[in-house]
Amino acid sequence: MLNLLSLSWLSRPAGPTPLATTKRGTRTRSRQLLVGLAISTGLPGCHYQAAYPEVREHRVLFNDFEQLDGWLPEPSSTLTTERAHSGRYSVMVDAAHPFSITYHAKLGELVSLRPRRMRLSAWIWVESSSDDAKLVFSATLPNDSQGKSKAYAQVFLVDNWPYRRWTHVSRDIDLPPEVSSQADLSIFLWNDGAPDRVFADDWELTDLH
Amino acid sequence: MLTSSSQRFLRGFVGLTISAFLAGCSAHPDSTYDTDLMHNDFDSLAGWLGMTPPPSLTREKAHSGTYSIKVDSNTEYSIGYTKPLGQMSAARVTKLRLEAWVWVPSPASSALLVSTLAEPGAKPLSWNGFDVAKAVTKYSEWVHVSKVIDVPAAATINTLFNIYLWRATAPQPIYLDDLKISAVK
Repeated sequence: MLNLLSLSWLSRPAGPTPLATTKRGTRTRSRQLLVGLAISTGLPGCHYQAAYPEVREHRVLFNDFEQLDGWLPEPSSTLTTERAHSGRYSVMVDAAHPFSITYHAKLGELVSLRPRRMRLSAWIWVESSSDDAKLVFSATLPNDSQGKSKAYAQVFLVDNWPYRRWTHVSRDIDLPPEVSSQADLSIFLWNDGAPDRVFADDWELTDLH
Repeated sequence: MLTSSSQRFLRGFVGLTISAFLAGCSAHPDSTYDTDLMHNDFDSLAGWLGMTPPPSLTREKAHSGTYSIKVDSNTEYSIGYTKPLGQMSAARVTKLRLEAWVWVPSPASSALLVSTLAEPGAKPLSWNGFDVAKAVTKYSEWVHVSKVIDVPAAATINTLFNIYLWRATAPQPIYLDDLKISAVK
């Protein structure tokens, strides 16, 4: 099922993906994704290999959040055992804790070659369609005094159904040329006004070359 | 006269006994009954401990995965684990077993796996320094070490358990991986 999902991402109409699409844009894309999914289920698996021989995925981050508790510089309420997709722990945000624990890394320490595109994915649990929380990806340059993001992307959690169960979400992020190996990446979960608790587990970042 | 099924059983039993005996050579025979309270292979921490990577979290060597922790002449203390006893274990613990794999370069090295128990903001109830370099007999390779520490009777569910590696007099780096804490039954 997951392979089919990623397949459908690749089989969507070609063209540059805007870095920060509007919500409407992303919703349209989820519809395209569904159509893509329907089409790709009918295609034999070898098609993928033939059409995209250059695509090789390399996982640069994966966390199931099982080994962080007690090791964080400050205990965080956003690391929780209330729900989990895998193991006991997941990450939670709510009105009192709008930002989760954050992943920081220099791009050059994750990959030897600067990727043009990365895929951010996670398993998420949302209560209802009004819980408009986001999984946020941002890349800033260390010499940028304003700390302006050169690549900013949000995975919209409510665009995915069904609600009230663990659902896989994923988004491909294009990295513009100015995102150098010195760029600082950060990834975090943002409540953004969601009235209910929102959970995310098994975060993964892959280099799509 | 043995039936074939009881022969099979006996063969299995002998095999089990032998493997249990062999396992006992490298581990402690009573560990089967311990409760695992915490373990860390240090492979999921990088990037999550703040903007600046802690110098003790390293990819220079690893017993499992990619990362281990180290102390050296520039790194006095490793990252540490802190947790109230009541959140580590639902049942009262009287003894804790500390286990780890360590890589010690030479007999001249010394690094302490320090564990403390203290009420929040108060003087420690107990301080224990386990010299991991003295516990090994082989150098420049990964060696399993283990120590049991007592939990004082005065400890409560709010007592903070803290563990970290301290350089002491290590002139060269000492590495530690796969740290495990269990409650001794």
